[in-house]
Amino acid sequence: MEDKLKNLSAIIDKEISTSKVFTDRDEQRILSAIKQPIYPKAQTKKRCSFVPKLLTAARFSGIIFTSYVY
Amino acid sequence: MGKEELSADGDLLGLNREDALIWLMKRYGEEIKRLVFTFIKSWPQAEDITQEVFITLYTKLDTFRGEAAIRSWIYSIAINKSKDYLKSWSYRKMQFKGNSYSEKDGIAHQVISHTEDRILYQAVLQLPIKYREVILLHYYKEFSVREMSNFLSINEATVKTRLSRGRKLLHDQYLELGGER
Repeated sequence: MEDKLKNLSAIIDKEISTSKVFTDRDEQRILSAIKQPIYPKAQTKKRCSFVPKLLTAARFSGIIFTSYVY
Repeated sequence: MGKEELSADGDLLGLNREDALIWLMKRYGEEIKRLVFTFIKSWPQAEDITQEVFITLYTKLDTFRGEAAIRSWIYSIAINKSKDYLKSWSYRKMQFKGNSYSEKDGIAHQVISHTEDRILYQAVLQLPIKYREVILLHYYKEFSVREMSNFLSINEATVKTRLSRGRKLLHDQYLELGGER
């Protein structure tokens, strides 16, 4: 087995493929992949501004009403 | 060793990132894709993982200072990516469905080409991954026990034990597949 293993490099290369496996297409794929942004730009979530405004108005109305009553 | 290797192969550190990547692909693309295939045993996946390896190299080029041999550095990334894939859910699912290159393809191929070399190759690819990786790195890629110990992050005694056990398993597998004594 040890003798056979000495030739393993040549055997595996021959059995995998006798022609090139890493082609220009692979290179181009990699080069185009690095040019693309990793993540799409995160969209900022549009905040709903109506609810806080309504709550603030209600709170102030409550304060005014309570100070007027008591 | 890293510095000598770099100066012998070209001054990688002096190149801009894209040129360095192109240099690395020209120098190591072929051997990395072949190595990844021996782990994954599927060309489409080997193609994707090789792409990931070079993208990782590109993103980590700034951290490479040349203190480690560049070949060992690239190999450690390729091996880690391949092993991550083998542990992934998508790989396990594919194995379950029997979609990948498997013994089935191997045996079919074997019937067509029943040479000793083919049998040895099949026997290597059928080894469990922890033995296959040391056999491949030592005999196929000619790394020393110390180098393997460094980039596999296991101690030298474990590497030697795995090599010895791997050889034994390989021998048994080889005979089982019809190899000559």
